[in-house]
Amino acid sequence: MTVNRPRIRGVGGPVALTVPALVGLAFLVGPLIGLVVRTPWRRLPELLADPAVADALRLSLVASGIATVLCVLLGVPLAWLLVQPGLPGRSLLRALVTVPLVMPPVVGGVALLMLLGRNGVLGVPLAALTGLTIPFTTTAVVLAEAFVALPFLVLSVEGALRSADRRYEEAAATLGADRLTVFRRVTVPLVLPGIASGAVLAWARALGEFGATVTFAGSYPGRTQTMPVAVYLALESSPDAALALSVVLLFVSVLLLALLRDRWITR
Amino acid sequence: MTTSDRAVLSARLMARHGERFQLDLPLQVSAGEVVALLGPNGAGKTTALRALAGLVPLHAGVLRLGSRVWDDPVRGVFVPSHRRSVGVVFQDYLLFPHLSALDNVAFGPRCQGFSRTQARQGAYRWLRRVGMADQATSRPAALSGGQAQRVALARALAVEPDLLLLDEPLAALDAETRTLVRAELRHRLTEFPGCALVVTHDPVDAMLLADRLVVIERGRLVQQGDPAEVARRPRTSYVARLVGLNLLRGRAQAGRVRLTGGGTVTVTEDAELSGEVLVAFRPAAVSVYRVPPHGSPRNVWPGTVAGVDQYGGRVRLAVTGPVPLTAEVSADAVAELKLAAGERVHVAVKATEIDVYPA
Repeated sequence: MTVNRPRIRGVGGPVALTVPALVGLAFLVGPLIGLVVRTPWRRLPELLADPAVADALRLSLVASGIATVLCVLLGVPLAWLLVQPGLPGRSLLRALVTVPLVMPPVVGGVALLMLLGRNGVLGVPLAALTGLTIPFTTTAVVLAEAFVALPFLVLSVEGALRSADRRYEEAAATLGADRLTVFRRVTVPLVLPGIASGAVLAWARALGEFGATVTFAGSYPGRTQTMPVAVYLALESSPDAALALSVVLLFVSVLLLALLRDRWITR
Repeated sequence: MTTSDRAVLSARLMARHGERFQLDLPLQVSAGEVVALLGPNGAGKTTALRALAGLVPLHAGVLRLGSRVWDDPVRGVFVPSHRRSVGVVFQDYLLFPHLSALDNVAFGPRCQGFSRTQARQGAYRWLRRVGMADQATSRPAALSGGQAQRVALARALAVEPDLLLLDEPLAALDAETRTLVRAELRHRLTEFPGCALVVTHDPVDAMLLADRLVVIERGRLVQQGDPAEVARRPRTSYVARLVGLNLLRGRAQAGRVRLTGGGTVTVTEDAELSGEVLVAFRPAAVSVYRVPPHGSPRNVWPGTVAGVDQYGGRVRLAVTGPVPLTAEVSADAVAELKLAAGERVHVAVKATEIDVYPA
């Protein structure tokens, strides 16, 4: 009796699975090919040299950089807090940290406006006391980006802390290190790879941020118009510039993937 | 701090160990003394060590080092780990993987407030003392087990603790390295001016490293004393197994001991000994016969061979019966008498080979 051999090796397999798999792959890769094909490569240097483009690029890099630093400064201690043994309401805190991750960024922008806007909960007293208004400034860009990027960093570092061997911290304590010293000299170095990948992830998220930024910070060229916002607006007026900016963002993404390949791709 | 200032550790360690049992261990260690805490796995040794190090709080009892109280739950005193003058060599060393051997050893002195340079100079002296100066810049991952052990010891000693704790310090080493490192460790411990406690489940380590043994089982102290005494007169079947003796329990009267499990043992010494006693004898003192021997007044019991194991050049027989025991015989005897498992035998022990002591 002849039996169909199970095809384990090779690329074969039931058509019912292979076809949707290839369609799925094409769906992911196709648009990128379209982008690369349509990009006016020859005019790329000229397009990117346009002051408006250069402004968006510079603003994006600066704002996402500051947002990432902010995420690390606040997120690493927050992740540390989440893994403390005996922390009350841990599940609730984790849920709160995760909300911005699953929430539409536009809603995040609206929420930031409601807190820090001209009529916001904190915005009113802030303006009354210092005369400062945050919305539609570069500061707002940084805050919007940090808001959506922070959960990525916290969850990445929290995972690293959870899998780190806590007995090293005990060893440090027996050597006379107080809790802050233990954190600084043992915990952080041990989870540095987790912090690094979390920071890269947060930076990627901040760099691509659109919804919260455009809602909370608007799109003033040179001040709040980041690359994703510029791409969206340029698509109407000068599609070639939009393509050039898109290609730059795509290039950055590929670069990030290369940086993180040890953690994500090679499994 | 001079040696005379070094204080005595005096404690009653009462701590919870999961749901299984509670540790309740009285413990005294003098300055300059090395005590081995010996016990089977899960006896509470590590819990005791963690309580001493300040990594788990006591739930009752008290822990004092000299005049300083480190833990006294009744009075609400708890000195955290980092404020105790303690050095710990952990079982798998726990050298910080991101620091060089030198910086691992310098970590403690840095925490004590020495400058980076001072701490490193001191650390280098400690590394030289344990013979690891040439590996000062190595990361822990590049060190062999024996080297890591030496660095871990140097790191614990570099804080010049009043109390040195070693958790299974030789367990992670292969047999050859173990012998070498054990001899070095013995040397370091002899020099150490403070209180030293070695936690181990290995009787050889305990006997060779310590001035005194403290044996615990299920969280309770079962025996303590100098190693030779413990080895000669074990008080529990666990200790007897460790030191390789047969141990029976019974009631003595007029030169005879009525065993708890049934049977009688005739003993010569301490004829006036009475009451609850322990009876100990070496497996090699047991003779094995296929037919009951006649003649000299010896203890003879029937039994069944339950197990046969090679033991060095000899053979150890586990014999069950009214008086269960281990007999050690020559390989020739095993062949001649055909002593396989399940065979019925008679075992005999001369009264002069038997040690009897109060339970």
